[in-house]
Amino acid sequence: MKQLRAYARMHRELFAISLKREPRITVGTMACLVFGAIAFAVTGLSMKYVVDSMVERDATAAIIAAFLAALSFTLDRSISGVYYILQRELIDKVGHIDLDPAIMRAAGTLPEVDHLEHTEFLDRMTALRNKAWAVIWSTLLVGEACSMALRLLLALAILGTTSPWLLLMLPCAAVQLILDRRGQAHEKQSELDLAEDKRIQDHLFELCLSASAGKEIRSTGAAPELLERYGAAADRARTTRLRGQFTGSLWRIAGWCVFAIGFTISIGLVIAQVQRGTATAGDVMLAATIGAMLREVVSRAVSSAAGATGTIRVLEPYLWLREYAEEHRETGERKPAPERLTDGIRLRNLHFTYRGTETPAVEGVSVDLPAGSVVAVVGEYGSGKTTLMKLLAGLHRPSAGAIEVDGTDLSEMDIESWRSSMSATFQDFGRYHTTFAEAIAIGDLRGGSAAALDAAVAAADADSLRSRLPDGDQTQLGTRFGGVEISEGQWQKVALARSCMRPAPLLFLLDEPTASLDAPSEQAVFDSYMARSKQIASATGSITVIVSHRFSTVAGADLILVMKHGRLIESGGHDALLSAGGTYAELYGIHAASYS
Amino acid sequence: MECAFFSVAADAARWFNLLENAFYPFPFPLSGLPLRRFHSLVRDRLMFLRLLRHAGPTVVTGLVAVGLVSAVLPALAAAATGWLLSSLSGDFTAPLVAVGGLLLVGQGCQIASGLIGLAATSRVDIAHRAEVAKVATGTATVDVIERQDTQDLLGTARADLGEWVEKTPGQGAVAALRIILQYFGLTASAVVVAAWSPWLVPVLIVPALAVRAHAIRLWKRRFQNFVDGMEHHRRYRYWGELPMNRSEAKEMRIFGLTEWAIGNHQLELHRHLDDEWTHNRTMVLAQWMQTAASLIPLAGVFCAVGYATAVQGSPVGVASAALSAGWGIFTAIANHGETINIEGSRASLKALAELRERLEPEKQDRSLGTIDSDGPPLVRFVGVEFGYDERTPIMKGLDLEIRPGETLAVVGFNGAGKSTLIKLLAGVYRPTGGGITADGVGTAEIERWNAKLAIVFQDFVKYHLTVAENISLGFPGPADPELIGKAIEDAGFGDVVARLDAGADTPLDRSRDRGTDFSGGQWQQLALARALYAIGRGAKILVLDEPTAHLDVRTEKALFDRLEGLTDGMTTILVSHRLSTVRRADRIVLLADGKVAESGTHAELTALGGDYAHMYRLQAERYKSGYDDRLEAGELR
Repeated sequence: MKQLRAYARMHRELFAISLKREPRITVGTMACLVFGAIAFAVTGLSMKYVVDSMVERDATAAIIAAFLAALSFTLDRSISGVYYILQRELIDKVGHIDLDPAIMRAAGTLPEVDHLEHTEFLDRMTALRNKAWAVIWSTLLVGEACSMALRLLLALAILGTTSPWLLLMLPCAAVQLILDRRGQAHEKQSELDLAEDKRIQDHLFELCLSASAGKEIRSTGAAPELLERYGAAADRARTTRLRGQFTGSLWRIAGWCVFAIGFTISIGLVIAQVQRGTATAGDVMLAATIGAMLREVVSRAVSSAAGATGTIRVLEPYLWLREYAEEHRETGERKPAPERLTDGIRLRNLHFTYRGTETPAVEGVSVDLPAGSVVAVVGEYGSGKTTLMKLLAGLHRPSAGAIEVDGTDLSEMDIESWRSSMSATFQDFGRYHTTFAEAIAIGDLRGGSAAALDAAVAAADADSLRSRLPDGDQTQLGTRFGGVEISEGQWQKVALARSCMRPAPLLFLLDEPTASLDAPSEQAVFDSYMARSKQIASATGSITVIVSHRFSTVAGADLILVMKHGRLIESGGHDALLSAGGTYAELYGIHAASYS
Repeated sequence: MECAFFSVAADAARWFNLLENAFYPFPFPLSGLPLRRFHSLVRDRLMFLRLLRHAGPTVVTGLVAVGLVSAVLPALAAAATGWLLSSLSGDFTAPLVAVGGLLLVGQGCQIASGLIGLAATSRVDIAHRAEVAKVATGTATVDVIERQDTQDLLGTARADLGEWVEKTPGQGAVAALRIILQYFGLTASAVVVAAWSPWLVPVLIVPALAVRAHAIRLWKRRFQNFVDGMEHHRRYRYWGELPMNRSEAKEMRIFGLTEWAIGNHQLELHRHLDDEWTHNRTMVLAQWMQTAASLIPLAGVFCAVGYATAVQGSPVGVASAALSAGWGIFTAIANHGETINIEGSRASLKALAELRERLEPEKQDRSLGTIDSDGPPLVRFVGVEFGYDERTPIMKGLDLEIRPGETLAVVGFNGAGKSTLIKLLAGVYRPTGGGITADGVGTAEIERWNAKLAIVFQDFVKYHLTVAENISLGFPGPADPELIGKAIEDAGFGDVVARLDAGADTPLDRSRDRGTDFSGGQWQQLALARALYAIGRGAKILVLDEPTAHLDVRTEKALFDRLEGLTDGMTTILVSHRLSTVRRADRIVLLADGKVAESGTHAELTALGGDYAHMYRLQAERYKSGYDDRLEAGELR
């Protein structure tokens, strides 16, 4: 019931959006639905009068009635043709101009990223990808269902006035509708069951078509195996779907048996009236015509409903996302991020466990990151370094403990203002298939002067890359849209340059910033970042946090955090940690030895 | 049975298309030779019908049976109604049961038709997509796949139903069959009408065909518009998906990029659909012309039937049946829903055909030579020239010899062509000049050259499959569980796998049931295990492109120590910019300006004092200073 209300509210909203977006088309679509119903009623009545006037041998009446019948047949058809075109346009416009952005906004501005990392959420997000049109389509299907209800009412009125016996058809139609719903439930379940196979199928297909995976697929000769797995997953998904549809069909056919019996009996009763002289041959024609059309009305009502069931695959995630976005949106009074850091960032007994896992990724980390410092985080893989970075950026909410920025709990701070006063590059940096200049400039959408771009390119040691681009700054990156193919390291430089666009971030997160770079680049980048960090630090007390496996990067930091299995096991300056002779000293020893 | 069906279907298609074609030009100017048009139409429909072979004989038989019954049903219903009206004064049980029974059969057929249609559609679609994937992976090189026009074709061929104007080949194939069956319905209705008077038949059929042809023309234009805007379409879909990608999602939050992505999405959207929206006006107007073209003949026939019956007092039953069936002719023929399915799926079929044509010649050549040696071959790059595009050459006459069994390190600045060298060696790109040979035979001509290589690419593939599958995909043929286990151990992450819920059978994708995901370093080890597995299966040249970029020092050192024992008798090519890792190599080459600039052992190159020495010094400096610091700290204590 609660869900029904939610759907009703959503459809009302969507209708209002359509009306605002395209008033003429929306009204036109509605008009088609109403006039279609009227044409339907006229068809039945005119067929009755044709037969009656033929029986009574009234030539004029026969001609008029025959013309009306032809007219209503044709109009019913044309109206549905126009309706089809109009509703498509409406779906396109509302779906792409209003709903796509709304979904993008909801997905892209939720404070945390949990919704993109857990199966349960990810399924829903996948279902929504570029599927906004199905949302508005569902509203139009509701409109169609209403128009079918109108036709049913008209049929009721016409049949009832002709002979009360004919009303017997209507409860039978209702039984049919109920059984049909049962059938739909089976279909819906099967759609849920096949989601995982569908994902595997899509993933493998995607790989086969991609150029970057293509080179490995060719060199390993994996194509036949991949195709086989693709086929197997596709077949599993297909079988699951068909099984659900089959069960659904059985329910449906049972429903139609009930309707056909009602139809036959009620016409039989009318014929009995004809034989007694209380009804005419036209009434039988009317009953047969309306009855047969009623079959179509009911099955169209059902197919609208089935279409709506199909869209539940999208509607359910859509409503979920709206609700989820609503719940997770920040509410209440929020403190803005400070202009500058005076004390620094304090981690208090910080815990974080990924949803659906049991081992904490970060466990009981307490440490002070002093204002104006460069902090390095080291540790073997899986030790929680990246998670720590994500927590600092507010991309996850700590399961327990707190992060305090100059004494203000991050969870009480306006997260957008905090984010706009930081900058970051992550291990899995973004690859934007746009121009070189834009891919960097988006690092600071508010500022971004040409000079800032030059400086950022230089800081990321991307000058030589820039000079070699065929169309200069306007070169399209990535082959996806016909641009140039650039290497992993070059993508990383672009990401690094992007992170340098904001002039004075309070927090600068660098998660493995130079993993794909060559030695001179690494050196150049590291030098410029260090200089930059120190310079910004003196102005605003900003903190730079670097995750790196490279001890060359780490040694110069003011504070080094050594992580293991989510815990902070050592912290301090380079010298102090070396003399302590712990894990850090051991790791550093291995590294230094390789260069001695 | 299947073959027989298709030849019958082909014949039927030919005859019905002949009928359609004969009436096609009526109110419109005749363009081109009708015969040629006829031929292409037949060929076209046959192309769709042929797709049904993927659906299997049972499904196709079901589809035909159900379709035939549904097609003739309106005519039967009209006849039954007429029969009922003629029996009003006597015993009406039989006609009444017929009317009710036909109603039920009609509905049953509609449901069965949906179900069998789905079975056929999904089978054809799976086969079609498998074919697209096969063609896309079938070329020897990837450069043709990377090309924009190829990617466009792949985008069209994949028949992804993201957009509702797109239809799949399966839908097209089923529609082609249903259109043929529609003509059976048309014939049946015509017979019922003819029972009243045969001359009414052409009066109804001719305009119905004309309306159909007109509607189809408009729809074709619409689909052409859509296909023409494919580029913009792909772009706005890209922007639409961006906020849901894990990597970009983090940056979108930090940099506040959502509105920017939305802006791009809207821009591309309008570029794609504005034309289509304008065309909609034309289509709505055209609908009224079609209405007039249908109304005039239909009204004429209805009035004639009504008038004549009323005046002559002929049987009302036959007249009523004629009226219902007259309308049936229009519904049978002017229904262009199935044509939309055909038009909508045409683009993807055409794209697949074009892909075949374009990629077929690129297919792996028949092997012309083999190399006999059991051990690793001697590989030679002779004057190799290559560039991803003509303006920016990467290789400018590269000469390099890779001796059997040596460990060769390849270093160079970013963009010097280190990874390109690997891709050329793997044969996924072909040199534009010069050649690459193994034991004197061109590598492109060697049978299963790729089976000699075990490559860890920098951007290796992360299959959302199990750990074991991720490894066994490193070498063609059935998986060898023992070797997989060994590869996991050798790559040094046996303990990681042992800790997983289902061990090596754990899927590596968080979104899968009980799946997990690896960190960057763990994935890198897995990629290494994949290559080691290939070695186990007989590959002779191990190529490592930045294999330890995401590994921590301890793992990195352990790995190289272990590798030393595993690569005995192998040729190892190591691409790295972390110079500490290349020092142990037998030989180091420095790539610069598309050629080998320096070559020698670590000691020789350091002594040479060139670029290598400079790079090495830069990297070492910091460690050295750190090392000194430690000494001082020790002295203090």
